[in-house]
Amino acid sequence: MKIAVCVKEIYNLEQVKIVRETREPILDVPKKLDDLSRNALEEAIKIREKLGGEIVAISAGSPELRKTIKEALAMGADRAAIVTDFTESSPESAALVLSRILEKDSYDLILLGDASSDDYSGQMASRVAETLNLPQITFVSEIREVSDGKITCVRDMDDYIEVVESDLPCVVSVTNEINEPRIPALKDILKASKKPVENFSLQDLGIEISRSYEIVENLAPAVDRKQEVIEGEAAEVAGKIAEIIGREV
Amino acid sequence: MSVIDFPKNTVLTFSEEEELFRESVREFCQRHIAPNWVEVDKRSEQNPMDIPVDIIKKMADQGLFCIPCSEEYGGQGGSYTMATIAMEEIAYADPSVALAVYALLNTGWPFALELFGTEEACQEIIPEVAAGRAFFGIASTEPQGGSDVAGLKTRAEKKGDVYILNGEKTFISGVGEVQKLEWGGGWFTLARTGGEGHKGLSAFALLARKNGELSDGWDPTIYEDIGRHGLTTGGFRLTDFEVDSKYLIGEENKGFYHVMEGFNLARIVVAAATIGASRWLLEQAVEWFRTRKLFGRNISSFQGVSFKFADMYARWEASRYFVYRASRLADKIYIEKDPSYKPLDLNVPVALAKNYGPETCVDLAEEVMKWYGAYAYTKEAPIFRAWLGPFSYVIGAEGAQNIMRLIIARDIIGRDYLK
Amino acid sequence: MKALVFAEKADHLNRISSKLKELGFEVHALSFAEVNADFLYLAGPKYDYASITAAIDMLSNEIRPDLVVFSSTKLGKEVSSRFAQRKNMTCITECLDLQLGDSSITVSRYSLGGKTVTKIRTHLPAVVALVADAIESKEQSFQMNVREFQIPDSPQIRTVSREEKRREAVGLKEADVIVVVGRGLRKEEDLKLVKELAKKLNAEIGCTRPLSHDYRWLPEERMIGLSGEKVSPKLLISIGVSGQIQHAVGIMNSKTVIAINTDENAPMKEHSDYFIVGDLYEILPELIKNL
Ligand SMILES: Cc1cc2nc3c(=O)[nH]c(=O)nc-3n(C[C@H](O)[C@H](O)[C@H](O)COP(=O)(O)OP(=O)(O)OC[C@H]3O[C@@H](n4cnc5c(N)ncnc54)[C@H](O)[C@@H]3O)c2cc1C
Ligand SMILES: Cc1cc2nc3c(=O)[nH]c(=O)nc-3n(C[C@H](O)[C@H](O)[C@H](O)COP(=O)(O)OP(=O)(O)OC[C@H]3O[C@@H](n4cnc5c(N)ncnc54)[C@H](O)[C@@H]3O)c2cc1C
Repeated sequence: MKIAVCVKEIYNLEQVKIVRETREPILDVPKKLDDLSRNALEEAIKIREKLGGEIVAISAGSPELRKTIKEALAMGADRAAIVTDFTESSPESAALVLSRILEKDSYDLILLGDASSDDYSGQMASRVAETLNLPQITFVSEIREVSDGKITCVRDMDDYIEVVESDLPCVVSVTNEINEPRIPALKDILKASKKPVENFSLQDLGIEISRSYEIVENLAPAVDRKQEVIEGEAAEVAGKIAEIIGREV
Repeated sequence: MSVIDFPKNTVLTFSEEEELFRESVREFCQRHIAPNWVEVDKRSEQNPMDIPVDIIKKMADQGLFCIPCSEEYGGQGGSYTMATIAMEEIAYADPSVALAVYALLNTGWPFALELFGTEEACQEIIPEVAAGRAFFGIASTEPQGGSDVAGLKTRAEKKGDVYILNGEKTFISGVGEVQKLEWGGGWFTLARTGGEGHKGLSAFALLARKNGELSDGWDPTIYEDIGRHGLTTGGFRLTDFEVDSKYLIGEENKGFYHVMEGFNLARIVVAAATIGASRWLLEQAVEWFRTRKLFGRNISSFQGVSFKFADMYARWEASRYFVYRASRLADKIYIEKDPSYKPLDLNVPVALAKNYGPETCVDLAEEVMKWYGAYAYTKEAPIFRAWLGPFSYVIGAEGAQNIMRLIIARDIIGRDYLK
Repeated sequence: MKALVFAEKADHLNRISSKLKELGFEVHALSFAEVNADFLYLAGPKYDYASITAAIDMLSNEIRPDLVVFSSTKLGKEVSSRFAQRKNMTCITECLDLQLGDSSITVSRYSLGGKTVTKIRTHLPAVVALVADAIESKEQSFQMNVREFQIPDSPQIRTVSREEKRREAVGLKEADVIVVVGRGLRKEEDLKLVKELAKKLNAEIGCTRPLSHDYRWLPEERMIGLSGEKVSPKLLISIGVSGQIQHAVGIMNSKTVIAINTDENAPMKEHSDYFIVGDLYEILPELIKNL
């Protein structure tokens, strides 16, 4: 089984701070591998443990990706194919780049997260599948069965749970709940540096990125709460809360 | 949320692998240690033998023990700096430092065993320690005083293929763990095989329990400590305790030198644990400053508070330099085996780190408790746990603070001028 | 200006149609039920992305819309992006509002995991997926030309089974008072306490993600936040909730927020008008007595 996992680097959101006066985010923080990418990679590793085969981590990002991709290699990808001069991150351009890398090889299964935890846009599986003319199974909360030619998955949709099957090759996006991704140990990290990484430029792939939209502003929502702290004995505090409730309702 | 991030730095730099490793340890700790450390400390305070075996097992599965030991012994094949990074992060997640001390003892001392011990002993012990099934620490302190290692009294008589040990060890970490873990374990220990003074001492791997079987002649007791409860401290009496000669570490009567190299290694990771706990304390302070208001202003707007904080922050950063300088040097000597560096080169760098890191941590904890006020004096606030735990390292575990000063003064001023 | 809309849920479609009408669009809707539209293409229900994408593609070739709009449900996101890729178009999902400009639209959506709201402008034609519950609109009148429409049956994957999730009717959106409970609650049985409080206040119960998705103590539709409901009650009482941004974005439109948390430094404080430092297990029984 040859599996491609599309992984994404995102800002370490925990470290993103907001300038209080202007409400602007400070993006001078390190990047990391997105949580949902790790869910997808974890699924791939589980499949490889059962069926054997190869896992290729595929990603488009900034020059920092050369480092971030090691997280994927340490977790268990066998090798990586990446583009590191991709800074315009619209879903359509990302899908284009990923598809071009994917076309360079043939895969039985392409796995991704159902969204990334920064943008939560959720378009990549559909767009990659459409570009490569493949079937897609999105929002997968369980992979029931994979064999040489077929995959069966449980999809967790808004109002229904669905069991679907598809012939391979196929694009599958997984939810955050599907598994708990492993944390690489030191031995895995030391091995990761020796795994091959193919690094393409946009030019190698013959891609020119054009901007299709404009960011007008990007600010933290204004929260203007009173933030009055109340401490004390439970009975006394409860009295105060009851009083506030009385006032508000 | 991390409140204190590491400053951008061109002197104290880490490789990509090291940074990745730090992230992985941090993530592991956020998942399995940070949410539980207070509970562990409380539970073991009630009952020291309530040892967090489940967490120890998880740490082993994550590869957090025997970090610099070679893979053929089940170690992680990492550098000493990797070990240092791990201990800093574990203590950041558990600032009582119990779990960090568990991990650092089971990193520094198995590594010392690998440096000087027999192939057989390494094959037998290190894999069990790495798997979290056995504890392996240091037992040198005796009732008559820990600082005077050269004066220790436990005797080892050679009888054929075995040594017969008689004596008593006190304030030894892990006395509970060796009884409770699946396989057992023991210590890098010292006993007198020759005459008076440091030249009469030999080092042994003393296994109080192995394969789940207690050894004869080992009579333990557990102490009630004031802090760092997640790891037991106790003592034991040795009565005609037999140690096979395969457990002799290094050469007979050279034990003092071997244990001193072991102490140097262990002290680096000890200091690392205290800078991790310090980072937790600094964060507690900053979060408090940002919320606590008095006289209509944030308390950090009083320079009496913010200047003190600045001083403590400076000491924390300085401690980190000391710690990683020492770990890089240890890598040169013991991992890269670069002949231009000698074991003795570590003495002062290590003493600086071990002198400064623990003291900074304890002083900082005291300040943070003062900034928090009365709340910090209740057991509900966890800060005192980050004070009493690291305090063990000012008192003496792995060498008293004055002994660190002694080493620095002796090497810088000259041995002859201190007499 | 024409808009083509699809949503699998009638109420979503009605909201979105009204919004589009208000902006001056002629509204063409593909729907499984009778909904408001100028031109309604009424079809039998289908839930596979390939058939729906093909149907939208057919309709858009016929109608030539300036804007193609979906509801930002999972199905809506999946279809909108597949369709947009087929047409080589921009698609913006999870939009919280929609403004019309000069041959362009501007939408807002969360980014950086909810830390910021990004305003994005893109030229028409475009594809967007709107969070129906976040869209405010007034009632509009429509032409109501209805036409039967056959969605071509062209699935690419096989459905083995489909099971509706059992849904409680949850009135979080309309509630005046909401009690939100988080992982500060130690065990499922303790929900009793929260339910009792909610009953006294005639409140709906909401929760954080761990309670609905990890522990499954409460149904998913009670989860509030980035990937759940966004609520706007007069009063919201948040109990044992740390206030991570992904949750907090769901409560931002509440008028007054009271929070109870043992951790005085919990991020929830920033999102509270009254932040009570204390143990829910001590305070709730007292509070229930007091009401
Ligand atoms: C929690 C904990 C865990 C421990 N775990 C271990 C363990 O696992 N293994 C182990 O072997 N030991 C362990 N110890 C013991 C530790 O190594 C000793 O406490 C330490 O060596 C100091 O010995 P002592 O306590 O007997 O104090 P002493 O040696 O009696 O020293 C008392 C005081 O005299 C000062 N002093 C001593 N000599 C000098 C000098 N030459 N110049 C100036 N001042 C001096 C010391 O700084 C100290 O203030 C542990 C201790 C603690 C608190
Ligand atoms: C892409 C993405 C989307 C997400 N979307 C959502 C979403 O839509 N909604 C959502 O809720 N989450 C969402 N999350 C998860 C979110 O990040 C948090 O993990 C989650 O909200 C935390 O839930 P919590 O506050 O209940 O738990 P915790 O963070 O564990 O907080 C529990 C709180 O309870 C307090 N507490 C403990 N004991 C007591 C006591 N006895 N009395 C009072 N207080 C006590 C603690 O101090 C703590 O602050 C999302 C995450 C991601 C990555």
